[in-house]
Amino acid sequence: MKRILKALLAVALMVSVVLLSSSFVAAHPLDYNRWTWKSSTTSLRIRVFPTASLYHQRISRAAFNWNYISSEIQILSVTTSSLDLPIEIHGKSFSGTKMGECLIYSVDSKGNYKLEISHTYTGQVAKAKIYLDNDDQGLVNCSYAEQEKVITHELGHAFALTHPVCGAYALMQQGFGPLGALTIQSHDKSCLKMKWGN
Amino acid sequence: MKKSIILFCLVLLLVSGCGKEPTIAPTGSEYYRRASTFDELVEVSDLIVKVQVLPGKKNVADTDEVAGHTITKLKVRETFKGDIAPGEIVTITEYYYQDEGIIWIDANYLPAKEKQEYIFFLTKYHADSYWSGMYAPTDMERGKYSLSSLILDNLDSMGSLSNEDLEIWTEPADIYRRWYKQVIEKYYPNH
Repeated sequence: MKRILKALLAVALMVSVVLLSSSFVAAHPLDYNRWTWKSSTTSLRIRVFPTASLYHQRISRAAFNWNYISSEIQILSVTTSSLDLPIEIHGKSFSGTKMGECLIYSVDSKGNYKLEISHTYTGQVAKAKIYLDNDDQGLVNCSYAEQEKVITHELGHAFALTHPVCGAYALMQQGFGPLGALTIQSHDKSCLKMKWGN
Repeated sequence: MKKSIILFCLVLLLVSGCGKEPTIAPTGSEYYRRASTFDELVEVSDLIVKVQVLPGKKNVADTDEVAGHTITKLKVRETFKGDIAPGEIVTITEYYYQDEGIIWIDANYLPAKEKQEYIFFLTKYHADSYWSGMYAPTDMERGKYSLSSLILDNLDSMGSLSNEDLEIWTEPADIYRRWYKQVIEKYYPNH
C-alpha cells in the first residue's frame, strides 16, 4: 500500500512539474532595459497632473499593483501635490489607437532634464513621464479594467520593463489581445525580479 | 599647413554628417487592437485602399497637449472598401514623429516610404476629433502593408524576410506575417 502511495505521489509530482514548466515562460534579458533609477526605488512617489486627474483612482490601484513583487520596487503614494517627483502622470491627446506612453529622462548637474531612448540608454534615470490618452474617443471609453491595464503597463515601462520578445501571456504585451493580459502575470513578475532583484 | 588641417576637418565633418541616418526609438507605448483576426481587420476598417505615398510628409512635434505624429497624404490607386474613388487623395496620421535626429515610433510601426505603394486599412476619425477629416491605420502596423518587390517576390518564404524587410520594427510579428499573406491573396493576387 505504501509503495502504491509513494508511486502515486511521485507521478503527481512529475505531472505538476511538467504542467508548471509548460505554463511558465522565463523572463528574457531583452524583456527589460539596462538603465537604472537615480533615486531610491523602494520609496517611489507618483504625481498625477490635472490633465490625468480623471484616471486618479485607477492610477492608485495600478501603482500599488507593482508593490510586493520585488523588494526593490515599492510605491509609497500617489499624489496631486506640486512636488517634483520621479514619476509624473499627464494626460494628452493621442492620434489613432494609441492610449499611453512612458518617456524617461536623465538629469544633468544643472538640473536640466534630457529625454533618453529607453531601449539603448544605460545611465541613470531621474524622471519618468507617463502620458495617458485623455481624448474623448480613446482610453476614456475603455472599461475601468482596461484603463487600469494601460496604466499598470506604462508603470511597468517606468520600471524598465519592455514589451516581451517571447509569446508569453503578460501585462507587458501590448493591447488587450490573446497575449495582452489585463493584470500582472508571472512573466511580468519574473522580469521585474530579474531586473531589480527579489 | 594649419589651413589644410582645418579644411580637412571641415570636409570630414560634412561627410560624416551627410550620411547620418536618424535613430529610430520606440516610445514605451500602449494601444488597443481593433482586430484580433484578419477578417475583423477588414470588418472594422472604414477604408481599404491600394495607395501610393505622396512626397511632402508633415512632421508634427510632440507637445504637452497632443502627441507627436506625422501627417501623410496617400493617392488612392484602387479601393477595396469605402467611398473614396481611385485618384482621390486621403490624409492619414502615422504613428511616428521626428525630433532632433530621432524618429520616435509606436509599437512596430515604421514610416511608410514616400512614392512607394501600400495597401492600407484605415479608420476615419470622428467628426469632432482633433484629427477630423483624416484617417489612421486601423491597427498600428497591421493596418499598413508594403507592396515592395522584395516582399512580393518572397511571399512563399516569408520566414526568410526580416522585420526590416517587412518595414516594421523589431518586435515579434508572427500575426503580421500571417495577415500579410492574407492581404495579398485577397487584394493583390495577380501581382
